[in-house]
Amino acid sequence: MILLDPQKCQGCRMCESACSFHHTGHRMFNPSRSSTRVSRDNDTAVITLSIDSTCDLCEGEETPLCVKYCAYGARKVSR
Amino acid sequence: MKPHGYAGRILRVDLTEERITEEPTMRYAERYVGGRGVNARVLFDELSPSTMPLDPENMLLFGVGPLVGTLSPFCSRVSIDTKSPFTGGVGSANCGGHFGAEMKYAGYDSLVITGRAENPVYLWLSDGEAELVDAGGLWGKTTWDTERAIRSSRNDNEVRVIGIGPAGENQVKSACILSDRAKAAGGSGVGAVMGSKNLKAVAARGSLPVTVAEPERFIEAVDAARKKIEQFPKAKLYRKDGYYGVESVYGSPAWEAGFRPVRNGQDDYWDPEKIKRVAGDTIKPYRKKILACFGCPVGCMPWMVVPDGPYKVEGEGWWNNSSNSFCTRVDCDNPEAAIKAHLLTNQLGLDGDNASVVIGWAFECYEKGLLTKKDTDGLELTWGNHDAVITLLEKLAYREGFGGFLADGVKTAAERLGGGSEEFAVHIKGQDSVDGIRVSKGWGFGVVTSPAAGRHLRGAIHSFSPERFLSYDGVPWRVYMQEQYKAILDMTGTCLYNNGLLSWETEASGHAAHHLAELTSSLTGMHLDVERFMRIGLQVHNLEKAFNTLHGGFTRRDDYPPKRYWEEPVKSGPYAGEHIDHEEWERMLDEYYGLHGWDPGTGWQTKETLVSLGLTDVADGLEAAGRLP
Ligand code: SF4
Ligand code: SF4
Ligand code: SF4
Repeated sequence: MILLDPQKCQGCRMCESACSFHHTGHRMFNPSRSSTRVSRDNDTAVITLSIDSTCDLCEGEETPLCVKYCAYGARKVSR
Repeated sequence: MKPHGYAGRILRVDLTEERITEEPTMRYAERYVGGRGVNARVLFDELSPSTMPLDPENMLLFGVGPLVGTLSPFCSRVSIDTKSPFTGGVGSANCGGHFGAEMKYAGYDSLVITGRAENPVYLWLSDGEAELVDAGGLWGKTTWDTERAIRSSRNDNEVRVIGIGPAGENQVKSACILSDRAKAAGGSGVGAVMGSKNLKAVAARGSLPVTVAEPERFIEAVDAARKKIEQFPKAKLYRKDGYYGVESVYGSPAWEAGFRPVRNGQDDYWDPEKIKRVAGDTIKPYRKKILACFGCPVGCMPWMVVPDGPYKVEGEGWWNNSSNSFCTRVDCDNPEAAIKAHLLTNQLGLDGDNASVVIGWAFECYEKGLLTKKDTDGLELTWGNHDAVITLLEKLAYREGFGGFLADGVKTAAERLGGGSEEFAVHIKGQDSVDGIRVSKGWGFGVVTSPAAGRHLRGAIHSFSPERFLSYDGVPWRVYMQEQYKAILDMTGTCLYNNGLLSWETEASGHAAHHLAELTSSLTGMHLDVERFMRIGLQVHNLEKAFNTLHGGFTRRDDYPPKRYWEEPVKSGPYAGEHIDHEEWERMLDEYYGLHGWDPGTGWQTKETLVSLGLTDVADGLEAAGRLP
């Protein structure tokens, strides 16, 4: 499972890019193909993170890509 | 087939005719990559020198580069180019945020906007569809309320909006265009041009892909660039405290190196007690969070909260220059008032850098008795009066009373007032200029010679080591290289701001251009090695230079600093007496024109140089206009 920490998240959406790269067989970037979503309330700066049921924990990858590319320590793999 | 790395389409919108057409991006991108590169070419080819900046015929271009919307670091930027209302030459600004990536996912690499809508509209982009939508109900709203209203009418919180506030609507020259309420494309009067077109905003939502030509090579290039960034010792600090929180702490050399002119540039050194009150460490408690643009692995934009009192406010924004614009320039050391002023400019759609120049000038006129309370609607423009600054920002945005007097920029205001006020009206080629340029020579030379007049986002280079920044040696060459490198950033859509991380200058990232070349080549399948990329950068720079010669009529005469900085030395502090040496400046200009292959007498481009750059048609255009030496 991927653990999410919205406090640490700065809203860069690199996890969405990375996840779509995984789901498209490394062919493209397309946030609509991402299992994870980042949403920011522009009135409060509160960020919401979520992962839906299409997440396969990056089957076939060396490591979950959304975790690898998050530079802010907002995502972790729980074992 | 859709080209790798691109949305594939350029959208053309004629607001007068309400006509929307498309053309393939690669018509231009094969040669000019994207973003500012494509914008510069279209602008040069299609805009007539007889068109005035606020005429409907002026063009307003938004462009994102191939790297935008991918995993490439800092891939957030949108380039906005036009004919500048300040100078009549090229106007160019860019911003980060999340709009650029969304525009690409919505199906467009560039937007070429002409004409003037009969009534206010906004442009809606979604999955390859574009539509002009009535914006009568949005006109008059702040940028914050505009975003809120568009999101709520679309019932979608992920819509990304770029647009103007009241300042742009009122065609105030210092109006900017803001993405996500906070990321300003400032300078060059781009907001005024958007306002003149009755175009309130562009909103985008998309789910179209950006495909990758060589995925494994691309992801290796991403990993290599990310590794490089992490090797830079400040990366972690930036992430934790934001750029301002690091470079502007009390004691940082940036405070003394003349980047923040004091009292409209009467000096470049500020009382340390005052610095303490607005420095990075003091500002920190007001910062609730730091936010990142799309694809940024560092993040620099703080979310500020002043919880109560007269300056109660909350929102995204506070930047290095805020402590110039709303602090040193007007000698104000109240941090809460300064934060309020910054966030107010975001709401009103004013560029703080530009607006503060004409405000600082007005304060100095008041000090010298050239303006009195009778002229200023009763405001006391005494140094340090932060309430007057805040009131003036409002008046400026709405062209109300004395604000209207200031709204056309400092050059025009000084011409109107006269009385010697022209002597301290700080502008370059007519563009209000915020930068301190007497101490750091590379910064100054880059700012003054920039085709996007008076702006620090072209060849300006800075370093925090005094041996380096005080010296004239090698400045022309470094500026010349930085110009080309900056063009690469702007063509690909990469952010310069954490410029220690990916810039030409720093030791940590001397190979930054290699990273960008590798990222772009593997993404698009084009063969862009560093040499070819830098050459395209040079072409783009030359296109803008030629645009300036044709449209702005600039010559060598226009590549000199504003009068105040040319004649007055820094008055106090460790760099007291530091000034711009006239002979050194002439020598630098000669060397710089020589590097470019431009004519030192006129400062114009030569036929040989343009032909050797593959810009024969540009040379022909200049020749026909009698603008070749
Ligand atoms: S683990 Fe993989 S599939 Fe799951 S959300 Fe992260 S990137 Fe997507
Ligand atoms: S990559 Fe990390 S910081 Fe960026 S949006 Fe995703 S969770 Fe947040
Ligand atoms: S460094 Fe700042 S402005 Fe640049 S992309 Fe990152 S968050 Fe945006």
